[in-house]
Amino acid sequence: MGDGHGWSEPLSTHDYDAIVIGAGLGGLAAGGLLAHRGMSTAIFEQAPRVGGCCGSLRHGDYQFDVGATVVLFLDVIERFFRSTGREMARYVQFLPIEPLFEVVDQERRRFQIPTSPLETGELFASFSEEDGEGWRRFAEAAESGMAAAMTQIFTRRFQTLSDAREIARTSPSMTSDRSSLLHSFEKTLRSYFRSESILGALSLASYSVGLPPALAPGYAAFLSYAEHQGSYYPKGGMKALPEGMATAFAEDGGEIHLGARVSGILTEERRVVGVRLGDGREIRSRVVVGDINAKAIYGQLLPRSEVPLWARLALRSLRLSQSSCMLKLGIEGDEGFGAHHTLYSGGLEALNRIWFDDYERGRPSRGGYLLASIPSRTDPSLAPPGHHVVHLHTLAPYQLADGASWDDIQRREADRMLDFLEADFGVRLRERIRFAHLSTPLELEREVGLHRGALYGLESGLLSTSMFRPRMRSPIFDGLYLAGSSVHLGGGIPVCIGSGMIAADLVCEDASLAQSGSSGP
Amino acid sequence: MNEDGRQEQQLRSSRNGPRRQPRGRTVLYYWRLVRQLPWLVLRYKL
Repeated sequence: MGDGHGWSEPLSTHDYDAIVIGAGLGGLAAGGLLAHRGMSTAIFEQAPRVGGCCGSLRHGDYQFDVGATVVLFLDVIERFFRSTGREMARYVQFLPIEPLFEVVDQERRRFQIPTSPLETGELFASFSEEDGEGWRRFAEAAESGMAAAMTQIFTRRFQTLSDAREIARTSPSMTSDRSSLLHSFEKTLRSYFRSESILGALSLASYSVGLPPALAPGYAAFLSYAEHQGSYYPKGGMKALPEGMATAFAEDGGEIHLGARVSGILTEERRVVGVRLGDGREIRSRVVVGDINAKAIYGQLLPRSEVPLWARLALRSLRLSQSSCMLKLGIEGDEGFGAHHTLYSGGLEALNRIWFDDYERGRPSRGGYLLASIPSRTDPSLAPPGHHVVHLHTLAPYQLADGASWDDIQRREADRMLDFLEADFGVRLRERIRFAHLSTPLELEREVGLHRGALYGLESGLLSTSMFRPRMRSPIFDGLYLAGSSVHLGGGIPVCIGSGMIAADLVCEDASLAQSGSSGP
Repeated sequence: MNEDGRQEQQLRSSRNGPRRQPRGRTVLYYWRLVRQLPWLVLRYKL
């Protein structure tokens, strides 16, 4: 693949050098680097705003997060802006979140987890000496993994066995706990901690790889340590990050077309030559970067007859990450929560139970876990004085059992979430609600473009991560590249930005080879 | 007893979980991996 034909033709045959489908963080990163490197680049986004899952929505006087509620690994974002010759602080600023989060367990005990690993150890030691010692061992094992992630994994290609060998040769040990590579998330975590309250607090990280603690890979357990590197919220709301990236992109001559749905990718003899928009217009380009789910790219945008059976089978074997719903509330008065993020958790067992008993059976969650995000605690500009914005977040299947529709049960499920909070944790919000809206998986698909509401693209199990995810340089279509949460490394703000950076590098690599007269990799 | 002491006593009463993942879920975890093995070559190719 990669014969470079697209780069040998004169620009007059194309509208742009590069078209990016989707203005999520992966698309903005890819587009931003391509534009900075001199390629005429256009991003087509179906929503009326940039950012995809990382964005903001205003309802009256309240500004809510669309999906993502926290930013970790600022270094990756800084690296992106530096790659375009810019300082991040000129385009987006971040407010630190402290404490990381408050946990309320089933017995209504409250404790706050600080950013400092040392203080967290002291907190866990107050549960038991065993848990305190467990945190010491856990932190030690996680530190090496975090270092490897930051310096190697997020922005390096990991598509082939040779990539894997190169990473293994040059990076620090992924973790000193090698057994976590073979065990489940639950087994790994239970080898460190005894308290169900602590286990519940740290188990939320399993859902960031799209799986419950019983099914997520063991090394993902160390993701819960990632927040101890620093947890942040963009000043002005989550939208400030993609808007900052979009500003930089436009400064380098990039074009963003909002409200422009791509309905198909144009091909000629297994080479992409542009896109077709929903209004029928055809826009030609040398390359196309898709920042939407790989299942949508290969299954909906490309001609079925041109996608070989083996590829369709491979895609079918990959499962989507979990979907969720988010109850957005504008409330008056003290919101009654303890931190920017407050986790209501029935423990690790509850996180497994709601997956197996509710989610996999097509039922909305019946309680056991709820994550409250109150960004107005960190950035008061999101709500009027004396008011707060609150997001209540839990698992929710895209496809409901018995043919039910989310549009029909929206109100009932919103009430159920408020009931759970009140009955199980004593938090009463109803009297103070001034605005309420339940964002469902269906709505996430319709309005944000998330394929079947899958928050993190594809699930990231041991055998569905990195080189077992769709490649960023398509092996089927010349000139097609992929970015975003369905490719390496998965979902999450820094990894999506990293994927866009890798995709841009691949585009430029192929363009250089073509222009030098080589036939390409 | 002061507030910190009260909280510490509350935290110490936190329920402990089993030391290991229940055997049934361990089996389920590995069975789920085994079921994916036939697709690995195709996934790697894609």
